[in-house]
Amino acid sequence: MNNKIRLIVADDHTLVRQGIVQMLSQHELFEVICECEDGQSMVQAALKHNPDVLLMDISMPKMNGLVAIDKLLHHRPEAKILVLTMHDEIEYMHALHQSGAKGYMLKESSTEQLAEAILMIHQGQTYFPKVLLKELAESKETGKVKESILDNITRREREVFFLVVAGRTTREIAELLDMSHKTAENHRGRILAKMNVSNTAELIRLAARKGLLE
Amino acid sequence: MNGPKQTFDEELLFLQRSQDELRQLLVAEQLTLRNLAQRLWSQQEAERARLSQDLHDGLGQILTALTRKLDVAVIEQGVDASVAELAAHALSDVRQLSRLMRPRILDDLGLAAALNWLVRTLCEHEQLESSIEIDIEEEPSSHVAILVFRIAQEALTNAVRHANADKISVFATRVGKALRLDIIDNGRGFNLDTAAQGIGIASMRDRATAFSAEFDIQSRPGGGCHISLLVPL
Repeated sequence: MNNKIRLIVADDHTLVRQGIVQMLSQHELFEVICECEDGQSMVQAALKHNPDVLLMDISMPKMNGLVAIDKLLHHRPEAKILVLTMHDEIEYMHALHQSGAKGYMLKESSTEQLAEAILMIHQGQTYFPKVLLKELAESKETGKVKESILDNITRREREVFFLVVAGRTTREIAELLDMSHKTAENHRGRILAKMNVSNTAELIRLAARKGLLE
Repeated sequence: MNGPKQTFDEELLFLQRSQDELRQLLVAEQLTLRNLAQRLWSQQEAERARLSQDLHDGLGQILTALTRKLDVAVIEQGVDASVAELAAHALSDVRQLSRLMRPRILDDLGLAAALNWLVRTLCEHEQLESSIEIDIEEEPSSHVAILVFRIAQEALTNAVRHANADKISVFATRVGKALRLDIIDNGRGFNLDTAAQGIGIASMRDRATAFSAEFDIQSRPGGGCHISLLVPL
């Protein structure tokens, strides 16, 4: 019985990708089931193979990383994505954290760090750089950055949010946004959790308080 | 029989026609010029992108390798640590130059993130207070995004390098069917009629005009500077 963690690796730089794949293949816990070189084929491969964890670059041809994440999470909200990048700018970290990725890691990281991140994400935890976590904690304390409750949720969740507070049922939302009933329900659940409310009525009250009801 | 009245009317009609033709010709010429200007700016962007890539892939890779080797040499062969620091400094300068020539972040994350990045990188090592407010809703087309980014880059560089400002504010907002950018500093300001800072301003204005945007600048000696841009979407 094969209990290895199944991975997809997406990066348009062939040498870099092969290096990562080789590194991972030598690890007893991992199995790379598919390699992709652009965002579009990554989304297709992820939908087809359902990997345990997906490792991906941000700057990729055909469909950039952020759009690919959005697209994938739209179909598979439970997908576990680890972003592997050369960008050490804080703006990238914030954007990818908000996008719904579960982890962010620089390509110059060691094999041990990469393995640790994959294991943590596979177990349902997240893995983000300390510098980002520090900024997020600080902004939470001062309340400076989180001016809008919508900053916390992904673009797709935002669409669902507005339909929920407009009084649409989950079935209607699924139809309007062209997603399965289960996906719509998952989005709704995550919005409630992120906004720290327990049901739709509370969510609507919160939206009203924040002036988000149209 | 041609009376003087009829001749006059014919003459008038003829003049009107040729005036219309001239007007149409002028409009067409203006359009051609604008298209030409747009193409020139786009060409410059493409050139910069290529140079940026070359810098990153060429010199950047060599300096990366050099930094790694020097890091090892410092530990294993007792090489002076300041040598490794110099190499690291050179690498970070090359990366920054490459990023400013073609901001990858604009393609990857969009205008809002790119403006945040620009303000942070240009202001973080300076003795000044910066604030930025962005509310642009949808992502604009890429030629609008690069226009806004380049104007902001030029204006902020002026404010940081020449104006001696200690406070800079950046606003980017959606106004109806246009995008508005405001950059305000409290630096030494200047006389708009003197040519001292003229070149940067002229190029900002030309660039805005090429993409049918309105560009306005207000400044006076000792009174800071306010640059605003209104780009149709």
